[in-house]
Amino acid sequence: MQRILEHPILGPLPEEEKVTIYVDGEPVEARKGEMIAATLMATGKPYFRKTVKRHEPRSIFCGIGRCTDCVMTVNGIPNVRTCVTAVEDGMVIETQMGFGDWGGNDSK
Amino acid sequence: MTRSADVLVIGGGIIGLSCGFYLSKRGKRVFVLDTGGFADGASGACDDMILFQSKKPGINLELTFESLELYKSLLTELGGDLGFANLGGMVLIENQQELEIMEEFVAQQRSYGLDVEVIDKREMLKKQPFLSDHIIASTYSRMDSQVDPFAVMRGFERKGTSYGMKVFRRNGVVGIDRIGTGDFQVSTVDGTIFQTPVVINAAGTWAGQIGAMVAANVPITPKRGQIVITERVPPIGDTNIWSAKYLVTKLRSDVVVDLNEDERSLGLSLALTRSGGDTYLIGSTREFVGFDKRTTIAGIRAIINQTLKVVPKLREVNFIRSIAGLRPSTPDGRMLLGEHAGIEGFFTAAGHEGDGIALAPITGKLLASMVCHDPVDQRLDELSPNRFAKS
Amino acid sequence: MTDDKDMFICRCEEVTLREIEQAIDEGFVTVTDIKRVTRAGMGLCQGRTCTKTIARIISQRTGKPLDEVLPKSYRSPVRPQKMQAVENEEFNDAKNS
Repeated sequence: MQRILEHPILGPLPEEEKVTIYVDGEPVEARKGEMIAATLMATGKPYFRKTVKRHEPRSIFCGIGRCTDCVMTVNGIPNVRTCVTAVEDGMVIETQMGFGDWGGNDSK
Repeated sequence: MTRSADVLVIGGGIIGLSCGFYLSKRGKRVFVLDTGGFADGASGACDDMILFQSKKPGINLELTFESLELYKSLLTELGGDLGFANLGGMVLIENQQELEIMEEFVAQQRSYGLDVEVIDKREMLKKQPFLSDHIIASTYSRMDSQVDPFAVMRGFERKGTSYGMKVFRRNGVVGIDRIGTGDFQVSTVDGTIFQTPVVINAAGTWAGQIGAMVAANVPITPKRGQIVITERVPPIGDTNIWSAKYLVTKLRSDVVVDLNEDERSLGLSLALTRSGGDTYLIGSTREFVGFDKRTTIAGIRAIINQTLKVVPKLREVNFIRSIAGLRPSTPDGRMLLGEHAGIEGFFTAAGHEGDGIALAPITGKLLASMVCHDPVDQRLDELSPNRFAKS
Repeated sequence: MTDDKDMFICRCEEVTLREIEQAIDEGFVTVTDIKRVTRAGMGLCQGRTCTKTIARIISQRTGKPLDEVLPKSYRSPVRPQKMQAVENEEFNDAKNS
């Protein structure tokens, strides 16, 4: 899915500062202030998480922060709704398997 | 319309359904009535625990052992895993005073056959690496277990139904009369009358109201417990967690325990238990507020504050819900189980306070024994409802 | 082979239409009943996505009107809150309903 570069009513996509986020360890360029889910859709990430029971892939469903289908682990914190959370430079985003893990130096 | 039964169970919570199941298994034609929907009472607002460590040696501890064994056989009998899990438990100790009292209590429990010990900080942190530094030691017992009350209730209902039991929800009891033949006539909200020689009062927190209909004294008082529920998170350590502080106030009323405002006014104590849905149920309060099932800002704040002191890592975790249940508490902390003297055929099986889930199977089995006139189990004299009879 | 009955009604807890219909047929006929026996509505979104759909399924299958089937009350918090939020001034000023 592409960012809309030229909108019939709103006109061209304005220039915006770029930030770098890390998605499963890989650096990804994002527009400052856009939602994480938007960046991931634009860069073609096939799924954001796998479900707890059946390990099925999920990404956006409602897109408005209500359904929690799009959650990922962001900066070590699981269950972050990517459709309503803006990117920040240096953000670490990980595909969440089930309910994730405590990660980092805190894991047993 | 009138319906006839061998036994009418008033109350379709985990206790009522257990009674109904064990009675129908023994060939009785059983109807179970509930005024509300599925698990609308305390059964639907609890923390799922089969907890050994909170019990003083005595009848409650003894029956918990027996009930756990029944749960294990129910896994086969009812089918499904019933959400059964054996995570074990740790009671966290924060100071020297608590340590001494808990060491004494653990020794008592061990002499009673409970597999429990006090472990030092190093051992404790191996099992629970995220605990705050101020916790000095804890107990550990591998016995503490849990079930999913909803799965158990659905299992009792399914299997009981296969034996002929019938459950009627959203139809409460409005009156109980005795007719010439000696049978009870129980009238309900929708107009149906149930005629039966035996009535089981398993109405939990509302059992006093049912008792009043036959002039039986059933002194059960609602004791509200609030619970905060987290989002699904990975496990916090190996076991479920409780704190010693509240337990110590119960064990040693002679000892002055330094309680903060919330602990005093809300009867606050810590219980951090993992649910079958991989969320944490965090409790709890002990409040006498009548039949008010609301959760309060003060309760939620107090529960969370005490939790963050003990497991600071949870600061980043979301809580997604709060619930409150009304524990059916009795003046002496023991359930009522048995037939009321002078009211032949009227039994009460209620008043389990915080142990309803743990004791549901054994309650149902013993109640069925009583109704079927099995040889009397003398141990159960101390649970007789007649101890509260007014002369 | 999947059919329509395998579709998820509760996405958070992965509960299918088939499981919900089976529960309804066993006598669990309100949204709250269904929630307790299937976990539908207990997940991260707390039923925001599935409640209305479950209510309709029950209503269609049993003939009960929607207002008999929907929950009578709701619990706080209205949306997920970090546990540390209780340390904020706003939380302390919050009033009970």
